[in-house]
Amino acid sequence: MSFARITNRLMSNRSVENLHLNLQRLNDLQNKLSSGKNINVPSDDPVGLSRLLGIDETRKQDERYISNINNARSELNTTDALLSSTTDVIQRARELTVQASNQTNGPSELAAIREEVQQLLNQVVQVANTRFGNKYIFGGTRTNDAPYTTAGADVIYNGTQSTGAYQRNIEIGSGVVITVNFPGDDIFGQYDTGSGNEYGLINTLSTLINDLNTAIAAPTAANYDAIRGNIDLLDNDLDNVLSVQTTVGALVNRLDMTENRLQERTISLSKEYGSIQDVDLAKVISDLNFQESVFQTSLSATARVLQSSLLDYLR
Amino acid sequence: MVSSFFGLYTTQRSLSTTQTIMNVISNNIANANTPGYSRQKVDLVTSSPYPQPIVGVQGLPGTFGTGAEIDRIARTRDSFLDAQYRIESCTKGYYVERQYAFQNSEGILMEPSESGITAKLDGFFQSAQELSLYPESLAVRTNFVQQAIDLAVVFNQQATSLIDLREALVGDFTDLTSIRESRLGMNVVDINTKLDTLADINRQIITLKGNNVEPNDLLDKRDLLLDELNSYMPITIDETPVGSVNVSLGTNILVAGGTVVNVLQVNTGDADDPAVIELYDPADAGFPPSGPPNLANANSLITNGILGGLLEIGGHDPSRLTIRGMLDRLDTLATEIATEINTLQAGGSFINAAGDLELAGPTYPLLFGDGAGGPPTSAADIRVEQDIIDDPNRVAAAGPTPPLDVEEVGNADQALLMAQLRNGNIAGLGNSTFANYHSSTISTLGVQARSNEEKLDSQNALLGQIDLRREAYSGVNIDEELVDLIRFQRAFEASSRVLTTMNGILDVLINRVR
Repeated sequence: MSFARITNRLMSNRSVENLHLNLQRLNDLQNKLSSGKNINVPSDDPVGLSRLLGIDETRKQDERYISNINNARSELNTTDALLSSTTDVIQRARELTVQASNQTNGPSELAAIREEVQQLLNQVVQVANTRFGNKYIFGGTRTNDAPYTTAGADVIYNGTQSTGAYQRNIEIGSGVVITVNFPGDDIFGQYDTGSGNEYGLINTLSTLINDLNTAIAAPTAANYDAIRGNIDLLDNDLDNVLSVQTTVGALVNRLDMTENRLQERTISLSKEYGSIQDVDLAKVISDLNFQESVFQTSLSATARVLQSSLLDYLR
Repeated sequence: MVSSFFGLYTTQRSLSTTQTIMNVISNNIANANTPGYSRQKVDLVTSSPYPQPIVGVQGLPGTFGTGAEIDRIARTRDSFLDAQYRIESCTKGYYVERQYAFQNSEGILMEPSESGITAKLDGFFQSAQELSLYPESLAVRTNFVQQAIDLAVVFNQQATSLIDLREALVGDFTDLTSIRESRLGMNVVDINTKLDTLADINRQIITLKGNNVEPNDLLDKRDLLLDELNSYMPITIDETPVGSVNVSLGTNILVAGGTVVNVLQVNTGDADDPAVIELYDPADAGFPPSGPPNLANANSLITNGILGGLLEIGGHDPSRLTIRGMLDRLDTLATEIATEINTLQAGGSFINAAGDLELAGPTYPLLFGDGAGGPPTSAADIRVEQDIIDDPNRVAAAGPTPPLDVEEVGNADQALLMAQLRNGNIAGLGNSTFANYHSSTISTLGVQARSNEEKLDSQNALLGQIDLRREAYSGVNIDEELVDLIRFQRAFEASSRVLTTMNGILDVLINRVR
């Protein structure tokens, strides 16, 4: 812009204004460089910030879902291992039952078998009372108390019934909830002579022990047949445990897939976040160098212009 | 025939004229850097010739010139530029005040950072997720309560800071002292001082003009004063034939000639507009005033300038971004979170002193309260209730139905529902999530602050241009003055030479002629 007259104050005002502007730009660049962030306050880039907040919200939730998934997976893996050892127990019990139903076995052999079956029953109860962290896995939501207690020959289930609110739910995605636990009564059953409530694996093993005792006392053909009758029951129990194990496996697969998806999304969100918020160092540094030299130049120009006056030449 | 000494008087007039001009130049140079100073210029005219051209004068071939004299010392000033400057500086004042408030608000809301509400909301919901995994763990419950406290505290801090900011700008409507000591109150005091000075200057100008003296320096001072007054609020300036100016706000005259007719005074308003500006007769003004105001509420007249900016940002206009607007949004967010969480709490089951689950029910202590047992009413009073802090087992993490066995502490239905609130569309927030609602508060502030900053920048540039044009017209160029100085120095020397020559002639006439 040109003026009719240039006055000294005009020159010095404009110089100061321009110097200030240059210094301001220099300061902005230095701020960016030292914070490493493009957006330090909302007004730096309101649109960018609103995207940034949205991305961050999703990213942080995804991190939480991934951590929930890891948590669920380790519990499910523990469950899976416990179910495997239960199938081993059932298979051993079946072998022993087949062996015991052969009439060549006399009372002393049957007694030894009964002893081993008793051990297997104890092992099942021990498995059913396993804890993951501080939680009893198979007790439904009664996580603080062992789900099975024994009283004499009885093995009683105290956890949440499978017909009740046994579920421990975990969110693995927005609104996606999975149940990570399986109630003990569904898998192991119970043997409660007091209430007559007897079913499942524990009932089968207890019945087997009773049948063995009967055969030891009176080794008749009918009693050996009664022992043999347990083989079908054990097969049913095995099927039952295997079907739970399949469900666990499917759940773990689902968790793996969900986690992969979340991980991928986290990576792409982080990239996007970075593209908005992270300072492009190369650009900022070269801008800064450029701005520095502009500032130096404007300083020296100002110094020269403001110095000269007619006074320098008047004697 | 003319007198022998005729030439002496011409020379004497020339010498004194030149000296006067040099005084003006000296004054110009001295004021080269004085704000508001306009360069003064001497209007030289030839003095009346001798003899006066009257019919019947005989014996002379024509009229003799009698030299030069000073007609007037005028200031170079463009009143059109002044008017433009005043309009734009008023708008600048408005933007400056808003900028100040917006920058402070951005500092208070602390986004993006790890200390803002966004981060604390995240922490709270993360801990609710953790609670849904380990409802029986006291450590996890304690962490959940701690995160809730953190959230409540950040609400308290931000709300209090915004309230303080509003108070610093326009005061608190329940406390007149705070209004008087606010930025608004202080500015009003400044304005009244300036109105007083303006009336004084008007008076002096009227007197000087009456004596036919050009009051240049007073006019400069008055122009500067009017510039300043206009940056506070939009005023109307009318010049009168006697040289004074009348200043009015809307149709209300503030200064008429040498008299201050109305002064501004702040008074308490209501929660919406904490401060009201009143117009008083100077004799009635004071705290308390001794008479009724001439205008009980001048706020609607002050929509621009520093005062306009302050009144707007400190007011409640829903179509503008105000501190009150931001506070309202924080309040809504805080109370909605409290309502949603408390509802879930009342519907869930907690772990009682015996370690058993117990249905909480509607009379159960709130998680988020006002610190006195009631529900929170604002972001400033939201607290985590002491009962819960003392015993984190009282957090109702378990669900209510079907009637739970007292031992089923592993149930986390309620905790999961709390965690899932994060993605819930809350009716009270216009069906948006908590995070989105707050993000929209932040971006509204960001957009407004950004656009205000840009407008302020362009306003500054515009004002700078006008000022430069004004400076180009009225400013002092030292080189120019030096050239003039030399010019008139030479003229002075030449006149002196004429005087010497005349003196020589007279010497011959008086002393040598015998």
